[in-house]
Amino acid sequence: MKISNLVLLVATLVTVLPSCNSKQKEGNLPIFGNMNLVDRMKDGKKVIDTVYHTIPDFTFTDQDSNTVTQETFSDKIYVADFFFTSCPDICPAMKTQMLRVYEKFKSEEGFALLSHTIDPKRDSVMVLKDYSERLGVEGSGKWFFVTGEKEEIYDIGLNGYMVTADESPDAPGGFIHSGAFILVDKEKRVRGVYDGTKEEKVDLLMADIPRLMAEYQQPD
Amino acid sequence: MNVFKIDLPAFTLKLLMFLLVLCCGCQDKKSKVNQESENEVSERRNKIRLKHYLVEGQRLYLKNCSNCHQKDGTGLGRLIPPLKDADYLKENVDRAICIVKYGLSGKIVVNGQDYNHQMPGNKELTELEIAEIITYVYNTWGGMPGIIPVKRVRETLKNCGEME
Repeated sequence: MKISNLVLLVATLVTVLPSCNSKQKEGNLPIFGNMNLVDRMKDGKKVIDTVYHTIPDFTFTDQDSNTVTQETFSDKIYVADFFFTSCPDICPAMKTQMLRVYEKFKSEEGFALLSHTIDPKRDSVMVLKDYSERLGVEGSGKWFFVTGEKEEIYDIGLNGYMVTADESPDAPGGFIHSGAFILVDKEKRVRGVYDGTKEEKVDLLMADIPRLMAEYQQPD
Repeated sequence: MNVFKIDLPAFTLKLLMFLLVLCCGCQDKKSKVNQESENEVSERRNKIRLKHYLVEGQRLYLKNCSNCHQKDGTGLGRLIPPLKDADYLKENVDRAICIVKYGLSGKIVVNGQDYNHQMPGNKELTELEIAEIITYVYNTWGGMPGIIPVKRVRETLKNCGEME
């Protein structure tokens, strides 16, 4: 078998069966997305590195007018989602569930929440501030409600978090978007995707968050 | 044969009672007795109807309303107002009927707290479905027992434009 075929086979298996990835430690959460195997020379020998899908860099503005980037989440795991404040159907259900996550983990140092508006035209910093306060989010630095360039938000949704976010005149409220909550680790890799409109799926997320935190306490 | 021997007196007794009842029915007491039973029947029918309204109302509420107002009617923070024990609902049933159908925008005050989040209408709901939802909400959380009938919903919806 040629090396390239072998690589292809491994890559396929890893993509299709993320939980069977033999490189992961037992009990650890799966790593989502395509991964690449990259050749590298080490001590004169060729070694193969595994490069996982990661969230690309971004620059957004939160409800307190602060700039939010990857730097904001350095040394933090976080849960991301996409919504808009005037969303008539699934967003209140999502925010009800996200509020549960917030209430449970708000005092955890290495944890944060990141909600992107997909309607930045309407959802200004002021609107997001009012929304977050009315939802019951006090203070700042834990649950970021961010707005920014529309293209950047849609792009990071699709290519970063691998969820749908787009304008659609036929959808309720004029936008189509996924109700997913995406769990991201400190290396910016996606470690879980959960239906944020369903209580039992969010229970799973709330069980996985401590598991992911525990991975960083394990000795290598 | 034995069966006949045992049952015959009982049958005769039943027949006599039946005739007696029939005769009594022909007398003066007739109207009063029938009146009472008619009332009972209609009361029973209303109870069944209310039960049906409540079961359907709950199903429709969970499908159309609970995403925002929550399963227990408590709302969501200061974004979405509660229905449970809400003075805003108790003040005006007709207004609530119109809001279910046509939605609501602008600021309202519920139990002393202001809310300003647009609620979409539910144009696809029928008059009966609205009556069932409203009945469920008012019976469960509004302290207003009994049916809010489809007839009232129909009349109210004709005048929604004139509501405040």
